[in-house]
Amino acid sequence: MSATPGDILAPSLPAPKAARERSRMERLWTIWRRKALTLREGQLFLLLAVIIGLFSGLIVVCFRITIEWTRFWLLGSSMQPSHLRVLLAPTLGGFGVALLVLHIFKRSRGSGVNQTKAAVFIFDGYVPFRTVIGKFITCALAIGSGQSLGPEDPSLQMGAGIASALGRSLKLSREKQRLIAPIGAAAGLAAAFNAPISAVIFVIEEIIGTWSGGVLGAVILAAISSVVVMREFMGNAPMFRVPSIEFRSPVELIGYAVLGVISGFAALAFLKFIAYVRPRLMRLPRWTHYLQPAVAGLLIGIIGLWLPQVMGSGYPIIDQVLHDQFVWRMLLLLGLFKILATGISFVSGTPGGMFAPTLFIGAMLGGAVGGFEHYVVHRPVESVAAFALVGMGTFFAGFLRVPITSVFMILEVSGNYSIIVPAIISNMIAYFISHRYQKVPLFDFLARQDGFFLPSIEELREQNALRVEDAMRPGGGSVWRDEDADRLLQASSTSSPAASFFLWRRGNDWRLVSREELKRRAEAIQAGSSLPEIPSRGPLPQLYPDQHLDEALRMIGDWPLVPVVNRANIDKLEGIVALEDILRAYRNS
Amino acid sequence: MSTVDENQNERTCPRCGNPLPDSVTKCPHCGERLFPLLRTRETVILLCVVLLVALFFVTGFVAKGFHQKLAALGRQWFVSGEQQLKLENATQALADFRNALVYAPTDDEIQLRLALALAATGHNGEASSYLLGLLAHAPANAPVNLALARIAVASGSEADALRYYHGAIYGVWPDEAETNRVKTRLELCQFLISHQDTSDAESELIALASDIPREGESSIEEKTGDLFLQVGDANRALTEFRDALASANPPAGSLHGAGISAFQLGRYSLAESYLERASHLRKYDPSITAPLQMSRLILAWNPYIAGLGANERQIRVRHDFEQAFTRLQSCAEDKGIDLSNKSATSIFSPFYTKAVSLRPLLTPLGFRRNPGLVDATMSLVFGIEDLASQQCGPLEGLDQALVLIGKSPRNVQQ
Repeated sequence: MSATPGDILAPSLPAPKAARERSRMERLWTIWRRKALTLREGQLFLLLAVIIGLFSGLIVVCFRITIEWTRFWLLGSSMQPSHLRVLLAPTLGGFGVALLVLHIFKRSRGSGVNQTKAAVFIFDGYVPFRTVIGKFITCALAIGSGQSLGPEDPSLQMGAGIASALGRSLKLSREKQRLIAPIGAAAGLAAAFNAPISAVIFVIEEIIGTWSGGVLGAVILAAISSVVVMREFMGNAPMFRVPSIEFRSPVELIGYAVLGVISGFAALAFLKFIAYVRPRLMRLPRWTHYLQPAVAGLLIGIIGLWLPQVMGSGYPIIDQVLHDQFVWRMLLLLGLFKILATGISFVSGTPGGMFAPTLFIGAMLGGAVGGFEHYVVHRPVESVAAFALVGMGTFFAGFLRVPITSVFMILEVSGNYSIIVPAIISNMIAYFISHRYQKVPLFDFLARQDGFFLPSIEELREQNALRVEDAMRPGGGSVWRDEDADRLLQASSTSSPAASFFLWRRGNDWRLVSREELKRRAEAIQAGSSLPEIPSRGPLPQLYPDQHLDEALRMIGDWPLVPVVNRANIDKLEGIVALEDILRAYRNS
Repeated sequence: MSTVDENQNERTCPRCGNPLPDSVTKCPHCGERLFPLLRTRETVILLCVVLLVALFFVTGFVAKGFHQKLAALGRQWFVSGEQQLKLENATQALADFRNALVYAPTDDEIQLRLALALAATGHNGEASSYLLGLLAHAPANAPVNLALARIAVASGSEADALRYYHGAIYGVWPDEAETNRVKTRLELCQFLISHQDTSDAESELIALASDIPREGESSIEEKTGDLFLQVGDANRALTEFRDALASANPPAGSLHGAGISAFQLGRYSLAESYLERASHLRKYDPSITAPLQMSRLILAWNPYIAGLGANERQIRVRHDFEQAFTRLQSCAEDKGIDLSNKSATSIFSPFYTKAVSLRPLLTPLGFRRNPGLVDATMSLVFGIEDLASQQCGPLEGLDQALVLIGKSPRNVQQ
């Protein structure tokens, strides 16, 4: 039964006992809610971050387990499965994935990172929950069947999807809704990677693009919560068992520099391959899209007959490389064929991530360089592990173009600070090579191929922010103080006729005096009338030379000019800035 | 939980935002159905918490099953690897151990077995990588230290080998710690001896001898004795061999070792006794028969043996003198020196002249008149034998026996 307005507006009618009771309960609930449970928006956001982290952690745990079960089921428990399984599992898995992606989970295609970026910048943080389910199922099938892809990027998108769903349920404002997707992304990535710091930095470096204090706390909370859940269920063991390694001598840096060059060019080749082949395959007739993942699976199976290590995410193989299991020639082969296998898997539209393959390729190339160095100059055998570890970060920096994340990732994975210098040198070389010869980073050109023109975080990162000092007119002449009123009058008569305004430091304020007003006062003095107070406008806002110019633009308002003062001595005038100065600076930048 | 709102006392419609009277289930303005309890943020958060708890249970159940599966797979591959090792199929064993390690990456036992299998198949680099990883977690792990020591020995890194051997000796053994420590120290001693580091080896052997349990394996005592012999400490070697012989099942080599030790100490009677018994076990072993023969010769012709009658002693002195004199002449002849030519002087001449002058005095009367004649004669004999061994190469038979008697004439009496 629904109440009518007439019913409601008839207070004289006695309410039934049940309704009175319900009304009383509701009032009590409202009072208790206000007193005990009311949170401010910021507090709610932090609480929500923890909840998102917990959900993401749980989902990622289930996701990882599902991938492993799928692998046991399709490929068996041996690291060298039978030839029949190696050929059939990725082929049939690819076909199944194609059917799911084309008919049921249409937004599950791709890695997940650029889709999350698109959600943040275009769709107000909206990631459909269906995508979470789709990513879970399709990626588990693809990776478990041996496609050369990883679980991290899908985990990132699943985290973002969970966060988005929670945000919608709680009817968060549009601004908060936009911020909440990266929080979930960080949680998902942190759980998948078991490395909260790297995940937070990656999300800030690649998805959000700015170190916003408003979101940083929530991102960190979510990442830590998800990692806690992950470790609770999957154990505290690190992703890789890194043997004890150390940086012995600066001469070793030569080897790491060589690694940087090799990884840089390998990353470049990988990027060019994806950039060239993916759009061409996407333009092929629709019926081919049913077959592309299956053909990719078959090709990977053929490679897998010879090199089964390239199948799947490849984490156990990285672990073996860190323990010097392969000779350098084998490592080189594995690195090159993993590039091919991952490239094939990815461009075919198979859902799955690029993080794990990137780490795999980097470890192989690093191990190959380290192994070759060991072979030639007989360095200690531990150096192979050090090179493999640095190689992971180096290829990561060159391919995904996230140099800060890559360095932190190496530190977090290894817990060894002695290799930070080699890691930074190698990463920077690879990054600069990749940046020099491939202008658009991976996730940006993937988004553009999908029809989204997202802001390039790399470009934002590299943009020089304009500051007040870039626009101000230095100097500013003398500063007139309270006691200098008469001198100010003199100055108005002797100064250039072009000067329309004078800055007057009166007390703690900056004020503006026009030439006209000074002139009127001078005339009054000459006429022998009593001295009127100098009429002035203010107080003026004051700027500092290091302030951002857009901030200055907001502060300048309708003032014809604003003083720029020294931060160490606010009485010292560094210069003045006017609206036309700011516009000129923007035009010239 | 809700956000703080200026108008919290007033219920508003979530759809149109108009104020709502109490106890209505439908907005009078827009007709939106009102489920206040279900639509509040508190309820959503509460539902999330309930869902989280449920998911925790489900995930815990799934994760437990997963870990059990992983543990079972790890164990299965480990057992398979062990079987392959028994079948001496090292390549397949390695593959199986690697599979096992994928499913049980933190299992130290699997890592150690894999490392040992790798080391056994010559993959020292990979083996040491795993072992160093294990060592980083447990620096006092004795089996890991021992494996690393063996790899260091194979790669010729003496300093590392010493460090890891000591790590193994003073480390923690999972079982039979005392025996394992003794065996490790024994291995270390062998390594040191093979690297000609006898002084360090001897000090390690002394420590080893004190560590050997009283009811321990006699074979260890025998090996320790052997090593003492190799570093030249025959006295301690004899002690070890005697301890080994005192055990319930004395190893055959102990008699031989004890005999050689006694022989090196100049205790020929004791040596003869041990070697005699050893020769019954290994009849045609020249390493037994040669020292046995020598011991017998020494005991037969040594004039300093206690309890000899005067007549017997004189006979032995004369016999030894004649042997030495013949040896002197034959050695000089080999060198092309004519000792009868008194004008020609050589290194042999003083000995020859002295021998010729002494020879007529070696009669019973001469011995009786001159009690110091025995020592003077034997001193000459030892001098001649020493000279002959230096000039004419190694000695044999009684000549060699006389050299040995000359090294410690009084000791021989024991």
